[in-house]
Amino acid sequence: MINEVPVSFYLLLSAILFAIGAGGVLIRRNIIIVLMCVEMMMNSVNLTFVAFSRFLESATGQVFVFIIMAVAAVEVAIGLALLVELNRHKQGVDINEFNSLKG
Amino acid sequence: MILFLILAAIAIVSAFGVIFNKNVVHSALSLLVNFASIAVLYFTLNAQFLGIAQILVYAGAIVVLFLFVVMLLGAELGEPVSSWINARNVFMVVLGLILLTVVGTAVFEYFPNGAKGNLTQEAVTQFGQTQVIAASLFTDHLLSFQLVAVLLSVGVVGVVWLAQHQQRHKFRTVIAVLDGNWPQETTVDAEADIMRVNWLKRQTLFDFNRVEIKQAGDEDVERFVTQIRNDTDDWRTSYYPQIRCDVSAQCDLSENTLRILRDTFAQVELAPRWIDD
Repeated sequence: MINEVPVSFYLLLSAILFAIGAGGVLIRRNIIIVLMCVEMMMNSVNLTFVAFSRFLESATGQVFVFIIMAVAAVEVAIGLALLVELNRHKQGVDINEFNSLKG
Repeated sequence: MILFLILAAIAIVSAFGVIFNKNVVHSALSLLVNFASIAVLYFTLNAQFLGIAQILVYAGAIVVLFLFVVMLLGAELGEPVSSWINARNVFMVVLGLILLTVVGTAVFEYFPNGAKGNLTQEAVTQFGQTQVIAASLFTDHLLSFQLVAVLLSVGVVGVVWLAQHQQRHKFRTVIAVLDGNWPQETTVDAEADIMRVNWLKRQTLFDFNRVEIKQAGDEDVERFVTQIRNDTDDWRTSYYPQIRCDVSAQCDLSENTLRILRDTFAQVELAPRWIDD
């Protein structure tokens, strides 16, 4: 019964999730939410990889997802460390506040 | 099929929840639901290993990290939002829909029909699915695997550096000194928690909360004040009018320079000689 789902449904779902994530990045000004939306977009791409891996019966897609997960973990760790450091400089988490490259 | 539709609905609703929750903690919990539903979708796609990894890495590590930082910063409440519907957000939604259309068209127009790989049902039942992935990871994609190892090391070093940078000691009193006879750039008095920085040596601005003019001419002082007036740092420009400035008896500043100093700082203390004049 599960196997009846065509692969295009998964692709459509991941496109929808990607669009929602992109919209969130553009709409919200809270930097934590923006990071969450970026994670969501990465996840939707992962879903595409897994769907194709199933459809093409290839392990490569799953290997890619595995590597993307490692990259996402590093990205979140560094992003949040930068956020904590930024928050010390300027109170608040509004990305419009962080508009100066100099100290 | 029904399972897929339910999971897709959960994923989409929780994705909207991430964006439209006012409380950031609720957003993080919506994100958790989203990750979990995608993990179950992986199970339905016969990718059990990735489903487990998804729960471990995303739900276990990343969401917890997000929650930790949100609570550390005390940023539970997001920006005050009176209404979600304004010109900018409508524009963003239109952009999102265009993106969705483009991606959807690309998916249906250029649907790949490539050669089948080695993750067939027979291989999965014979060796187990994780073993097939591992074989691919450690043979075809060994270089990417090693690059990920390098990336993780760089990430760890970067985060540790950022955290260390953060723990730099801040002195309670930092005095900007203008003293032509003083050869050093900085001295530290750990007992009194005071750092003295010689501006004449350093020539650029830094965070200070007192000024001492010991041995300097009118020109030096004027350059110093010009730099302060051109300063664009919000915190410092708001702080200058509270700073106390001591001028020693050794330097012979003109009345005009003293007036400039009085305009810039809260309090300009002159050593006794001028008071006698």
